[in-house]
Amino acid sequence: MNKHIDAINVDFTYDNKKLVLNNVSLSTYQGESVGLVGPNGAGKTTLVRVLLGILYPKNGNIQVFGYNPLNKKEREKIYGQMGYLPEGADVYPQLTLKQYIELFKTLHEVEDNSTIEELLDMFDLQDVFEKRLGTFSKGMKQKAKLLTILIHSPKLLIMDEPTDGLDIASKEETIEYMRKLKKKGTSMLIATHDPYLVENLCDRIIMINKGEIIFEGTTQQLQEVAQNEPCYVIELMEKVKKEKLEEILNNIGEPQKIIVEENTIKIWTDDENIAKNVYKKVVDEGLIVKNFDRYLPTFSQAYKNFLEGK
Amino acid sequence: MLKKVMSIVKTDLLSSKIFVLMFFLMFGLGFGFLYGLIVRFTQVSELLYSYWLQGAAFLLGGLFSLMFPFSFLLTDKRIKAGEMILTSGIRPFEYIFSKWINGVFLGIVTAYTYLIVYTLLTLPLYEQYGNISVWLYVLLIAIIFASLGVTLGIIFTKVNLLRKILLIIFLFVLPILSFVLLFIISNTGIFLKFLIPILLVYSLLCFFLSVRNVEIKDFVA
Repeated sequence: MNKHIDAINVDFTYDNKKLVLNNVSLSTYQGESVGLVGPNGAGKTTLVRVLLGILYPKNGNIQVFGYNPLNKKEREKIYGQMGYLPEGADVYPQLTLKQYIELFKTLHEVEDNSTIEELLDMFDLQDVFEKRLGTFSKGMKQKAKLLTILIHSPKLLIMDEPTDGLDIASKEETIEYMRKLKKKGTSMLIATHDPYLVENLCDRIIMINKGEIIFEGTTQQLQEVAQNEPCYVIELMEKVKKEKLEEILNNIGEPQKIIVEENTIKIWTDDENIAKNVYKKVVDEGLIVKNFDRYLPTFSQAYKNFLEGK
Repeated sequence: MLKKVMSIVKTDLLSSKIFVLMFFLMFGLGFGFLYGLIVRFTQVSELLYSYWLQGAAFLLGGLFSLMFPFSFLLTDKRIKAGEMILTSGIRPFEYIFSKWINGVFLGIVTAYTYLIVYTLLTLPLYEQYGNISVWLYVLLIAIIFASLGVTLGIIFTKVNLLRKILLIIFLFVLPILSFVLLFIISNTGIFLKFLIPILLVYSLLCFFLSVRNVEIKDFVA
């Protein structure tokens, strides 16, 4: 697969005293979407700007599509193939959506209107095409901005909080469209705090804190890593009285902890066999098991656990 | 390249049309009409009155040329539109050039419109329209002030507070001295013949010096 972004050992400082980015290395590949996550002030936006060549790193090597974004001439070749959505950008309130789109259509040298029409349909903006952007809600403005970075079908999308202000339905449609773009080979680097977007779109996440990459992997890997003690969950088909379950579970091994709820049993243990014994006993008692699996925290919980553990 | 520049010019004009119109009417009425009327009904010669109106038109054109590019640059930075536009592939110089064109355009349109309106008030000014220098001076004044406006915009977006203050003082020393001189010598003819070319060279120098090292980061909030 082609590498779209390749950054090696990047350091950045605003004041030559404190490193805002410290030895950051990352890559994104064709057709891959990478989520850049981390707490506020971690350095996500700075990293995005460094990768775009807007800010100059103190040390390190950056290549985007094989070009150096710090070189002014090479930067133009990169910008022509990518779409960038900065965080918290606003629109010109006096312009109509049509005029706003016209600007970016000219800037990206787009001749064909089919993508624009498809995007207008997808974002449900056809009816407000002639309306002033100043009358738009926050979510509609966000859709308008997303539309302008997608009109030229870019090979690389760098977005800072792309789902900010979008409702669930719009988020789903946007994610669906992004997935289609991915299939066509577009790669994405998405700086976000939105767990829904990360879980549903990102193939991989890079977690950054205090300017350093502290985790790189899939969301599932983060969920596994972030769980302090291994936990197994047995989900039953029907609700069972808590007392009955507790009676069944007496005298089995020595798990660290068992939590019994109406139709779930959570078993914290290092020994997988103990969890299997519990499962066997439950089945032997004639209870129907819907699911027996390793319990993983949600992405949000895992993210929080992981950061607290660091 | 020109197509992209012109699309930014068009966008800025469309996005600021209400402000342009508001300032146009406000200054036009304020300077040209109300103050003009006061001058008209004092004991001044027709020629002096025509010079006064011509000067007011030049000044207002200059003000528009100065104010709008400066305001466009700061607004773009504030709403991060500059960041979006500059990462679409347009070079920083082309982006700034679009603001400069806007300043020149607005200055010329404003000054000429005022001149035409004021001409209706006095005949000697109408006679001066036959003189090519009136048209030329409007163009030169628009260029001067648009260059200063862009330079001012870059100073505001680029440098820290102390350097900002020093640079702004430095930038306006010559133009302000020129106007002081104008009032002292009270001879618009000399001002137009000698000082406009000097201010033109000065403003273009400021413009090219400020544009020389601009980076995208200068327009990123």
